[in-house]
Amino acid sequence: MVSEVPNTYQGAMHARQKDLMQDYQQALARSAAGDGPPAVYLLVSGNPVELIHAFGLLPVFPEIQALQRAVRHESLPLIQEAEARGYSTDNCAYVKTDIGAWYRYSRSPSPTVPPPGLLLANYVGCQVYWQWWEQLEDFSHAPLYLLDVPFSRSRDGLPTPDDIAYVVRQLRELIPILERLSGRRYDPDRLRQVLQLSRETEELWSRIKWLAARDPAPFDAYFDAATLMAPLYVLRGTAAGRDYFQTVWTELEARQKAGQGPLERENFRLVIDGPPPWPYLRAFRDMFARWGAVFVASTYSGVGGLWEFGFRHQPDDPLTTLATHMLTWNVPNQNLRQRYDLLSRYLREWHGEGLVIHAVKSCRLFSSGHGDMREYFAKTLKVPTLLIESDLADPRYFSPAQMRTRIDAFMESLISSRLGRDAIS
Amino acid sequence: MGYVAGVDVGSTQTKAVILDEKRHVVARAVVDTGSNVARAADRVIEAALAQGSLSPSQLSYVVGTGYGRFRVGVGQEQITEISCHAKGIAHVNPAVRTVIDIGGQDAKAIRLGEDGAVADFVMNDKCAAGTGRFLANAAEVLQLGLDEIGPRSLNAARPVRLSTVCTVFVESDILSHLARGRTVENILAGVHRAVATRVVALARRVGIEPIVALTGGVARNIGMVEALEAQLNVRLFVASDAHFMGALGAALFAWERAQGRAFAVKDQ
Amino acid sequence: MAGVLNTLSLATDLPGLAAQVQEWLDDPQLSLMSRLKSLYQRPAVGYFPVYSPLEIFEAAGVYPIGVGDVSHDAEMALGESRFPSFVCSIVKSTLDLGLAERLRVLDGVVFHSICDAARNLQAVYARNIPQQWTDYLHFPQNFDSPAASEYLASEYRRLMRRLDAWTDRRMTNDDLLAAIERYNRLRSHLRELYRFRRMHPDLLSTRVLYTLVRALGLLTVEDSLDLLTYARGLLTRQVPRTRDSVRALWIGAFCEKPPWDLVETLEEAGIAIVDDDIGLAHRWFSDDIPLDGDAIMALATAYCRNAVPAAVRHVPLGDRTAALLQRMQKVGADVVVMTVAKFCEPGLYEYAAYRRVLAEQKIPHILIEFDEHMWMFDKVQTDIETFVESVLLN
Repeated sequence: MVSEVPNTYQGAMHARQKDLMQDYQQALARSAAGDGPPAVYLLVSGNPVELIHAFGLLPVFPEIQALQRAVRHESLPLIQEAEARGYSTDNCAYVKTDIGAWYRYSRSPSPTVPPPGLLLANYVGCQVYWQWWEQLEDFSHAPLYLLDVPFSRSRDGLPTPDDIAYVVRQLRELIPILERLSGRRYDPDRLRQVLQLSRETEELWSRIKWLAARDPAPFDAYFDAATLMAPLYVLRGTAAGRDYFQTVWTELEARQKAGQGPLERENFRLVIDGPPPWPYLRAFRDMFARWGAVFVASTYSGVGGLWEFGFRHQPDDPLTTLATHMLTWNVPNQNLRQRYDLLSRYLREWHGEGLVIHAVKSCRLFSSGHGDMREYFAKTLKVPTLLIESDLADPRYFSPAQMRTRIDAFMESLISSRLGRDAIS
Repeated sequence: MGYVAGVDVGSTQTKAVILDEKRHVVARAVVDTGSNVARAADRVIEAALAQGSLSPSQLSYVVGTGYGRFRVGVGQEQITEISCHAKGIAHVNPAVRTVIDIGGQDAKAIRLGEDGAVADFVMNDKCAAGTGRFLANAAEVLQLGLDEIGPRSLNAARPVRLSTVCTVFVESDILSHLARGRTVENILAGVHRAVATRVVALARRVGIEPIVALTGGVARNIGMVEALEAQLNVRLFVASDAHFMGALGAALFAWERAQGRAFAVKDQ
Repeated sequence: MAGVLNTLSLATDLPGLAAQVQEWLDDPQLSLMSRLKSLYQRPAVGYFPVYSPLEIFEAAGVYPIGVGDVSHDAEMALGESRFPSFVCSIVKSTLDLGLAERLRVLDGVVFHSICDAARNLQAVYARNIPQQWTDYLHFPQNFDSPAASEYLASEYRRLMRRLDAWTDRRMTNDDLLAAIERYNRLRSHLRELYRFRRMHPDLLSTRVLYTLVRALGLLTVEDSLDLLTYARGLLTRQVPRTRDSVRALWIGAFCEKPPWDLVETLEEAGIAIVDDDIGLAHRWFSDDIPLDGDAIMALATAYCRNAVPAAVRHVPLGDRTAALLQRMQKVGADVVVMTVAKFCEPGLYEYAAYRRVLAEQKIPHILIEFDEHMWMFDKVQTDIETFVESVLLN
């Protein structure tokens, strides 16, 4: 079983995703060449992409570009460029990858990405977001709107009526800005249509996530789910996006029924917290795959939105539903106690037998308190728990040998505790 | 079934233990790892075989562990040093519930279940503070041998406080203390205390249950033992051959495999 | 002095007073706080830096304690185990103080949204120290929106309801106005002290001023006023020091407390600090808050419209850097000394932006990373002496 490798399954969903993302890249390139709608830069956390689509504008997610650069091993020179300009080794590596690219290309972070028409800092959970966007405002001179979303403060995580009213009021202020940028009047019916498409996509996404609760999981809810995030965030609210997730659902459900998973055999079902180490994605995946370990749930796949517990956008009350999504139904805006509850649910309802906590230096939002998380799961809940550390975009913080020893030891301990249980029973 | 061996390829030393059918240690050897990791593994097995007057064909199963285990594919099977240290110590003293291991590159704390298996473990994060490397750097700055620093630290009257536990900065810290006229003994006591603090913080993460054992090369350092005991407020169990614990555990796994037992890393 | 300070037999010269105050803050048992709590007969509420609405605590009749002002001089075995190595010290030391039961004088702690690392501290603190209640305030960041101050007012009202329920009384608008008036006076005293230091950095050292400002974290507003009044009375008795020095704006130490000796090292090297970011909880507003009308709204509006610059509060970078240059001019600073706590992301982003503009303007500046537990300053001393020499020689 140490020879497990991820399967190389390529279905219609993969071909379709390639086409869709190519279309999107081409739209970006056209806009960069001055042909096409202006770009709105926004952030992944609880993103209100529906509002951007309703005005026919082009959403750009610098985080997704930074992570793609990290996967392609292009992040380090950009990080070093930013560090040479005074950014610290202790600043977020996504930010530095992006800023390094701004220093390199000056008009935007890439020749094929349009400069921002609007910098929408949807401040959902991560404070570095608006600090990043402050810097982009300085580079691009584009207007910045800081959409301030109060952090989830109560134990149950419910927003106060004042929280909702505050976000809705800001969305109303944002509308005239988007009208000016797009040259289109705000059309509530158009927004309702977009939200209806989002709602259908969210239903499909939720059903896809629940597929991983079955035995075997037909896909890895960390590594494979991460590759589904770009279409989910960029195309949510479009017919193409909805149809794409219909394809994904049909295909993955068929695979599940046929007993096919991402690996030849599913020996371990694990749950994971924290973003992936993008520069070492393949190596990291193989470290689990060789043990036959599959992630059946991950908090990272819930950064843009949590839909598997029933939340759907409500087209009949567009602004309130956008506010509720940003305030409550995404991982980054939830407090740490809520994240513990979420992970407990994943372990229970998705049948995970162990928890992996991946602390990443760039993201204190995810990682601050990870030692306590370990304490809670390992000691209070008695769940086998592994805490490992690296980074999401800076390859200098990933030590393959150290990482592998920790993962191997964890898997060995899972095996020996299974043997112990078998011996007792 | 013949004899079995465990080989622990550490960052500074490579160790081997050979067991007979009754799990008695019949030979042990240790060599410096050096730059050629593959060669170190071969050399240590040769040395152990020579010590036991055995021939290679008498070894029915070999398990490799330690940081170099995969690079050289030592033995028929590789198992992490966490599992091997636990296995070794549980064999030597079944009452041990917590294992602290301070190696050259890594520090780890392991909690053992009633059955002697790994119930939980933690290792140091990216920061190398609290590992043998920190002690080695300090010894180097003070131009002392690694075996000297522990005993000398015990003669300290007023241990200094280090401003950092960062291996990178320990040198300037020590030089500053020397410039202020602090004695080598007091500096060494401060160094050992700083490492102990980090290690105890690590051990707290798995929960410290007596009996607490110290394994790894640093277990031979009396200064470290006393610094840890002072902070843990317990007596440590230090096996006389503590630095062989990883190799012993690997050999015990090899014995189980040779018996056809199910432990198993490769197939269940 | 009408308050409890006269029971403390204060020293009669500034260095003596500073040493005395430092003892209160460094005392591992924090015995002064327990003593004051029983004298005040008020419940004690801790607040995390950078800013917290102290006026509301005062109006609620609670004793506010700055958890960031208390020294943490121990090894941090407890706090360290709950956070990764790349999280700043103040997050860990606050939890460590809690876990080590050194903050048992507190009945509750109010956290807030100043940064991502501290954000999660509230949950960890609440889980591990359940005997204290905690709350978390969201400070708005969208200051372009008129909704921000109304939102903050609603957050304050939520906190007030909680405090009312807990103290079993009901704060009135007049209670709040009275509290604001006291804090206005305190801020005005501090402005006077800062003005004095600006004019006579040789008579009032930052080492002494820093100690006094941190002491306010242990005292009620009345006692804070008494302490500052008393300290001001001692100002003229100082013997001026004369030496070559450069007038510096010291920024960056807005949250984690710099070690006493760091400040001393800066001054010893010839840095005459003429303005700084320390103790912002007590210095958050540049003008008095108006004392008529809806006190909560006034307090919230002041936060959005009238706060001093801080890395944890959104301001367009252009405005932020312009404000830095104006501030230098106003206080007559020739150089900028930026100290950033290790792993402090807000401070480090701000530094990157400031560095660009300071280089453009050819203003000498130096970055020093610090940690509240740092205690050896040889390298800082070399760096800062070299910096001072290069400025003086040019």
